[in-house]
Parts: sequence; C-alpha cells; structure tokens
Amino acid sequence: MKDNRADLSTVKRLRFVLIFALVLFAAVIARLFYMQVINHDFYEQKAAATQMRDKTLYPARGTIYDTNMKPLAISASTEMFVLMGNKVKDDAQRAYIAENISEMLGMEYSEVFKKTQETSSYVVIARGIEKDAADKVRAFIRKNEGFDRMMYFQNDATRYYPYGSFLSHVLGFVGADEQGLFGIEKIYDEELSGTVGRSVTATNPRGDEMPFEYEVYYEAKDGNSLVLTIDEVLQHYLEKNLEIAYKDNKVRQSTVGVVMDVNTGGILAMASYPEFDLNDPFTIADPKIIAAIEAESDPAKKEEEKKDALYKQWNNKAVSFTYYPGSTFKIITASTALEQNVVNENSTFKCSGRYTVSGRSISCWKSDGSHGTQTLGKAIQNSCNPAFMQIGFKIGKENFTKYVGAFGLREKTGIDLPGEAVGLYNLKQDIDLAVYSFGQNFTITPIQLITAVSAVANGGTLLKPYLVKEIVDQNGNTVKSFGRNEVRQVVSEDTSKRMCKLLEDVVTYGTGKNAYVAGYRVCGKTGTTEKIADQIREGRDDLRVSSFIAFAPANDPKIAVLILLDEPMVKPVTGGLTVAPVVRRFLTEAMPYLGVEPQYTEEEMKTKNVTVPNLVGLSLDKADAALKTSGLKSVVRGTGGKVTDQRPAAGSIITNTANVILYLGGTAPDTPVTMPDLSGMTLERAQKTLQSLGLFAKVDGAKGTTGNIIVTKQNVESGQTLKYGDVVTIELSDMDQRAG
Amino acid sequence: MILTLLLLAIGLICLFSASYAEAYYKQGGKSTYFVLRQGLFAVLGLLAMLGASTVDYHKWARVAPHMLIIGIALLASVKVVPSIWKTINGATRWIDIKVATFQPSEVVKFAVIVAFSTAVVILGSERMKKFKTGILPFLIVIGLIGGLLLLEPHMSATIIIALIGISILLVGGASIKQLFMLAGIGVAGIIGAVLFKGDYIIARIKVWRDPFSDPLGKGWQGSQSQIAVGSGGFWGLGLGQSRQKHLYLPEPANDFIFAVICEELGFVFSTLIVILFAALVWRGFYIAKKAGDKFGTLLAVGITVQIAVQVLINMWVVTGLMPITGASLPFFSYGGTSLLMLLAQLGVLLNISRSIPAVGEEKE
Repeated sequence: MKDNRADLSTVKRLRFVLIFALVLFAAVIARLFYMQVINHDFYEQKAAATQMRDKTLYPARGTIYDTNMKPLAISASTEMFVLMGNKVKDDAQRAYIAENISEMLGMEYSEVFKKTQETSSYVVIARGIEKDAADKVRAFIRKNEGFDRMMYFQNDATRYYPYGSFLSHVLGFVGADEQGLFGIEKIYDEELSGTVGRSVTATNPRGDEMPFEYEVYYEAKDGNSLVLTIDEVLQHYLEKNLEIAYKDNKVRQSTVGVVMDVNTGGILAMASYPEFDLNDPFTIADPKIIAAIEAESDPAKKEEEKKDALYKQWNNKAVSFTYYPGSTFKIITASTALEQNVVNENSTFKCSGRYTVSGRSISCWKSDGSHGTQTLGKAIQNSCNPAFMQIGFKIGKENFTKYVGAFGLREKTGIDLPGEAVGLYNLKQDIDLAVYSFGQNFTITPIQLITAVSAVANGGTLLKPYLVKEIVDQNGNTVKSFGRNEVRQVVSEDTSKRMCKLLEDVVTYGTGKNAYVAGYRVCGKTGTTEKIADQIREGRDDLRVSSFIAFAPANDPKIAVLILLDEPMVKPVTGGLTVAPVVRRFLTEAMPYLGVEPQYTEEEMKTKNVTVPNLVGLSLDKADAALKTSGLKSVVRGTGGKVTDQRPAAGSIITNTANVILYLGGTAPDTPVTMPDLSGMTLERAQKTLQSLGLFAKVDGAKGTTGNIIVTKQNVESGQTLKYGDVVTIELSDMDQRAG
Repeated sequence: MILTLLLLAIGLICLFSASYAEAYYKQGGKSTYFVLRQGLFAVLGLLAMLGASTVDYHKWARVAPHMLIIGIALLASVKVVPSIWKTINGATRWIDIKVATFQPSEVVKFAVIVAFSTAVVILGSERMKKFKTGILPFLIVIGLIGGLLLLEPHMSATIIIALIGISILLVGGASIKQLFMLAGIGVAGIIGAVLFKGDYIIARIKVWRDPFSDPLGKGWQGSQSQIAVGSGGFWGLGLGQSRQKHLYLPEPANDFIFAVICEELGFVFSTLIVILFAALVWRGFYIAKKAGDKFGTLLAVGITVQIAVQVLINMWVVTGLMPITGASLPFFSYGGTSLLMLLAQLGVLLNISRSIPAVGEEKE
C-alpha cells in the first residue's frame, strides 16, 4: 500500500484520461459554436464567393436585313473568356496567365494583365472568341492545376457582316463589347442590343451548376432585328458603279451615291467608295493612306493621323458631307420660281456670258461665248448661270430663303443615321442671292439635296428620308414599322409636273444627255463646283465636286439618284461628262430591276440593243423574218437551203444596226481578232471598224444627231485577243456637255 | 449498445447524404453506391460485434504476440511487396484483397491494445514504475510501428497508436513523472523539427491557421472544410442540401463527412453528434473502471482511447483546430473494413462489460 500512495490509483488515472478526452470534445463544441454561430456570416460570405457564380448573360444582337430579308449583319455564336479575379493568387500568377492568354487570344499582354488585377469574381477577359482559340485556352486551363476553378468560358454572340464591305458606311459596326459605334448599328443600338440578363447560380468547382434549385435568373432578351429600305440589288449596282467611277476618274477623295424612293422617302441604296471591311473596321483600307501614315516619324502625330484616317474611312459622306450643290440646285431655284409664278416656260433670259450684280461681274460657265436669249427650258438645259441669277432676283431674297427652308435644306432631314450635318446658309445681300440661285457659296448635304429633289419629283411633298422600315422581334413579329412620313407640301403638283418635263429635256437635249438610258425617260441635272477652301489650302485649282442628280421615269417618278464625285482628276471635269455616265450605268441596270418597262421611241427603235435569236436550222426566209422582229438584218455566207451557223451566237445582245452573219453550209471561222481602240470614234465609225474585224457591239450611252457624241469607254481593252463574231460593249458620251 | 446502434444509424444516414454528390459525380450517377456497400459492412460488423461479445476477452491475450508480429509484418510488406498495396491520394495505406480493401494499421491498432494490456499485466506494478521495464520496451514497439506507418505515410494512425500506448501505460501504472518527461522530450522534438525544417513547417502552420491565404492551393481542403462548417450556421442548410459536397470538399464521404454534417445539420445537430461520441467514450471508461480485472480495464481503455482519438483528430481537422491529416470518423466515414473492425472491437468491449460483477445499476 505504501507504493500505491506514491502513485495515483488506477481509478484516478482513468478519470484523468477521461477528463482529458472530454475537454478535447468540449473544444470541438466550442469551436463549432464559434464557427457556426458567432462567425457564421464570415463563412457564409466565403461560401457564397466560392459557390455562387454571378454571370452576365449577353443577348444576341438583332439581325439587320435588307428590304427583301437578306441578312446583312448577323450575330454569330462565339465564346467569352471569364476570369474569377478574386481567386487569382498573386502577381506572379497574374503574369503567367496574362502571358499565356494574351498569346493564345492575340491580345496585348498589358491589357490582359490589367484585367487580371481586377478582384471581381467576374472579369470578362475577351469576347467573341472563335472555337480554335478557345480550345487552345481550354487545353491551357487543363494543364494548370486549379485553373479550372478560376477561369471558364461562357457563350457569346459576335457581330458578323457576311458581305464584308457591302453597305459599310450605312450599316456601321460594333465595338469590342458589341456596342454600336457607327451607322445603323449606332443609332439603333438600343433596339439591336436587347437586354442584358444576369444569373446567380450555385456551381461546383468545375463550373457546372449544382443539381438542385438555387439560382436567381434574369433572362437576357435578344435584340430586335431591323429591316432596311435598302435593296441589296440596287445597293450592289450603286456600289459597283461608284467603284468604276472612282477608278475611271482617278478620284482623290471619294465617290458618293444615294438612291431614294421618291414616293416614300425610303433609301434604296447609299454608298461611298472607297469602302471598308465591316469585319475589320480598324484597318485602314487604302494602301496609299497606310503608306502616308507609315512615313510619319513622330509617333504621336502618327497616331493622330491614323485616327483621322479611320474616321475619314468610316464617315458616311451621304449625310455628313457639306458642299456647294452648284447647278444641281437650279432644280430648286426653278421650282421655286414656277411655284411663285414669277417665270413660266415661255419666259426668256438673256445670257451675254456674264451678269453684273451690285457692281460685280459674274461670268457664265460657258466662257468661250454666250447662251444668248433662252427660254426657261433652254436655260436649264444649258445650265446658264446669268439666266438663273435673273430668276433668283425675280423670286427675291425673302421668298428664296423661305423656299430653301421649305425644301428642308436648312435643317437636318432627320434620317435615321448618326452624324448628319447641316451646311452654312447666310443669304444677306443681292450678290448672295445671285450666286445662291445657281448653287454657289452655301453648302448642303447630299441627303438634303436628294430629299428636296424627290419632293420636286413626287408631286411636291417633302418626305422624311428613312432607312429602317420595320423593327421585328426575335420571333419575327413586327414591333414597329415606318413608312412615308410627310414633312410638308413644298410645291404644287402642277409645278412638279412641269419640272419633270423641264428636267427630262435636260437629259434628252441638254447637259444631262450622257445620263440618257434608251427606253427610259430620265430627268436630271448636272452640277460641278470648285472646292474653294480646299484649293486655297492646298494651293491647287483643280479640286471639284462634280455631281448629277436624276429621277425616273419622267411620267411617273419612282426613284431619285444622286451621284457625287469628290475631287475627280480626269479632265474635263463636268457633271455632264464625269458623272452623268455613272448615273446612266446605274439606271440602265436599276430600271429593269425595278420592273419599269422600257418604252422606245421610234428613233430609239432604230438603234436599240436586242437579243440575237437562234437561227441555226431555219431556212433563210424564216431566219430573216425572225431577225426582222428585232430590227436586225443579215448578211449571208455560202449557199444552201438552211442556216448552219450564225455570228454573233444566239443569246448575244447587240445593237440592231449591225448585220447578223448567217452561214448557209459550213461553220463560222474561228480566227482570232485583236480588239481595236475605238475611243474618240463616232458610233458609225466604231461600228464600221468592228464590223470589218467581224466583231459586234452593244452600245450604251448618249444618242442623237446633235452634239459631239463619241465612244468614251469600251469593255474590252484595245490589244486584247477576241474571237471572230464576239460582242463588245461600247459607251457613248456627248463631249459637248461641259456645263457645271 | 444503444449508443453504438444510434451512432451507426445516424452515421449511415449522414453517409448517404454526404456520398450522394460524390457518387453522382464519380460513380456514374449511382448515388446509392457508397451507402449500400457501407450498409452491408454494417450488418457484417454487427454480426462480428455479437460474435466478439461472446468470446472471453482473456483469450485475446494468448494471441496478442502473434497479432502484433503479423500486424508489423503486414506494415513492413509495403516495402517488400508493394504490389498488393493500393495508393490513394499519395498515401499507401490499403491492402487490396479484391472484395474490399483494408488498412493493416487497423489490425495493428488492435494488436497494440491487446499486446500492451497483456504486457502491463504480466510486468506488474513494480516493474511498470521503472523506465527500463515500464516504458522503454513499449516505446521501442511504438517507434517501430510509427516508423513503418510514416513510410505509407499515415500520420493520424501514428498519433492514434502512440496515444493508445501512452494511455495504457498511464492507466497501467507507469511513472507519471517519466511520462511527463517523455512528453517534454516530444515537445522538444517538435521544436527541433521546426528549427530544422523551419520554412516547411511554418508554411504548413500558416496554411493551417489561415487556409484562406491560399484557398486554391494548399489551403483548399482547409478552407473548403471551414466554409462548409461555418456556413452551416445554427440550424444548417437541411439534410442533403450541402453545397460544399459538390466537389468542393475533398472526400466528403470520408475524412470530411463531419464538415458535410455541420453544413447540412448545423450547430445543434453536430454538437449532438459530438456529445454522442463523448458519451460513448465516457461509457468506455465506465466499463474500464468496472472491469473485472486489470487486463479488462486496460483493454477497454485501449479500445475507447482508439475511438476517442480517431474521432477527435477527425473533428479537430475538420474544424481547423489542427492541421490537415487524413483521419476518418468512426461510424460515419465510408470504409467497410474499418467499420467491421470498429464494431468487432466494440464487441470485445461488450464482453468486458459482461464481466462486470453484478452490483445493481446495470444499463446494457
């Protein structure tokens, strides 16, 4: 027992171990109390940060369609890359992520690194990622442990323009966050972009949603789609011809064109050339400009120049360019005078080559002589400035200004495009009235002019031009539609009718002859002005804006076309020579497309373009009869009962003044023919030249017995090798049309 | 007995909930995979418990040396025939016997309990007081086993076996002074280790103290476990509603099942489970106190301490009171052979309680 006293008893030792164990259990309970009751909020917040994922749900941007529902801007499905910034460990990891991700996604390292420094749980690193790039990043995430818990991909939609540069200045484009930056994309951004949604979900570390209900979800609403008034076909015709005009005339700035439905105000086509790629808008398209920028050594200046070049590239000149309208404005002056009844078709105006106002002598464009005494019609056809100054004074300053305003030329048209400009108009003195009356010294925009001229064409009603005719939701239901929106009646129906006649004569007999389209009655007016300020700045004297405005058909106008060349360099620069042929080429394609039946006059019937029928297998009599219905004649080679071959081949379109070659027995020779240079030849000589070579012509352009009508364009360059019996296209212009 | 069945039943229910997500993600959607297997072992375990409770516990003394030798041999086989061993998460703790896997450390634990108890009884109180006979031999055995376990590595088993041994020595009459000195040497050893491999250990301590300093890396397990416990709150998210078990928690059906319980059932119920375990431990000590002889007392202490240490390590790890080490929670964690062994040892405990001389107020 002595021993036991020195030591604790077994029972006491047992109790000691038990109490020790119970204390440790009590510690667990205390700890649980601390974590679950006292400090619960801290852990709950940590839990939310870990488990909950707050996602922004981006809606798909609405589609932009042309008038026939052809999609011009669509949303393609891509992915966006999201980083949970709160989970990144340190700067070393940030640098590692930024280095790899920037390379895989083709971004700047500094940009990505900056984003990785954000501590939000939802940092969008990049949007609009294509599958290939996303797959690379996914492989990278798999390779690095723990990365799948801090970064992931989410569905995204990216703007895509299937036709690249088509309609570029009108459509505009979007920025990195799918926000509209220019054009329709900008002005209808709210409609197109839809409503951003949000979802808060509980997810496992892989990013999958947990299999039970625990989320807050606000659905993203896709954007509405737009149906434009633009007709893809007409737009294509316009863009094609603007490009040809740009190249033919070595245009320094750009060519601009607008086509309007005169009865609704709807824009059927609108373009500038050069265009730019909507899928890559931040690349300067013009290699000349790139070279100029590269030549700049100062980096700040370089950046500045680049910015300017981009803005210039995106600029929609149809609404933002302010220029002296020049003689095209005479339509407005003449309409006002008719409406005010201060002149009529029998009024005469004298031109002595100059006209003196307030002691200042202002010369007519025809510097090598004078127009003499002219009727109103002749004055318009001649585009005679002294005559229009006289008309201006008949109208008077007050009424002149009133009507310019009534035609909407002193305010924005309100077209649904951003960046519309208003020109300068400040008529005070007689000298102002004198030059304003022929379109000088005040500025307007192309859209203002075509809108005003459409009013002249449509019976006198000024309409608000528009580009979007319908807004539809994602199910195709119409949300809103737009149509003819009358601003005011500017002139009477009678004035309109009379103006149509006067302007048709401009194309038939006057300065607009080169806009003549066989079979169609086209009204139009030329206009060329000097860019005085630019000439002074650049120290040159050859900077012009040359334009032509037309509408057709004269008896029931449907469309108006304005084409404008900003700084054409091929001389002589006149609306009649430079621009009228461009309008003609456009109308030649557009009128049949619009379903306007050609009505040929007797004169026109003699030289119209016809399709050669198939004659092989017919007897000579029957072949001749078939040709006669098209106004064609034949020459015969060989002897025999039946036609065995023909030139040109069936289906070719040629001018019916040529003789179709019929072979009675045997086939046509297959000899090569070298294309001659026809430029400067009259039609007769050109046809003779072609015929002697065994070639045929389809003839477009100016016709008639007056003026100096010569070949100005051939579709096959001289020296090219053709085959016997081939058909070429030649264009004629009246070289006398030098009026401004 | 009632406590055992209660814990077993609650354990199975909690396992079902905790393993649900794990099975969903990893067993191809068969969410009952784990719980059905565990249930089968529970039935086998109950049979083993009944069987063991009919075996006179004195008989274990005769096989004690053999069990110890076999156990140590099994542990040593990790180096000799590593092919029969299975590695999970970098630790080689399991021997694969095709139908199931089992941990030799479980066998060794029981062997140590029986062997130490037998040895203490044979040595007698006089020799137990002397360091040379009362502590040193035991220390050598613990050192040998601990060394083998650290090869796997298996830190928690090492701690459990050491604490079982020390508890038996303490209750068995070893000199308290000497044991305290031993504890002092142990503390010095830890300090030495910190000085020797300072950076590594300090980093581990830092992550243990604040797992949120590196939540995606080394602190992932700790932070996710603490988030689970803390976010459970007073009443919990409800049975089956744990979010952390969805791949956030490592081993939600095993080492971190208590975290899932805390998250789903809250402070009230998790405290109840702690109390149930404490009551089981108390009951174990009660049997030890009332046992018919010293061998029974020591055997009961060994078994009870084993359960207590196992439970405490698990709960301390889950609540962040100690650094992360892999330890399962008896009755709750998934692991068939462990459960079988546990229930069989409780059968031994039952047999000891039967040996209690009938005095009156007997519960079981």
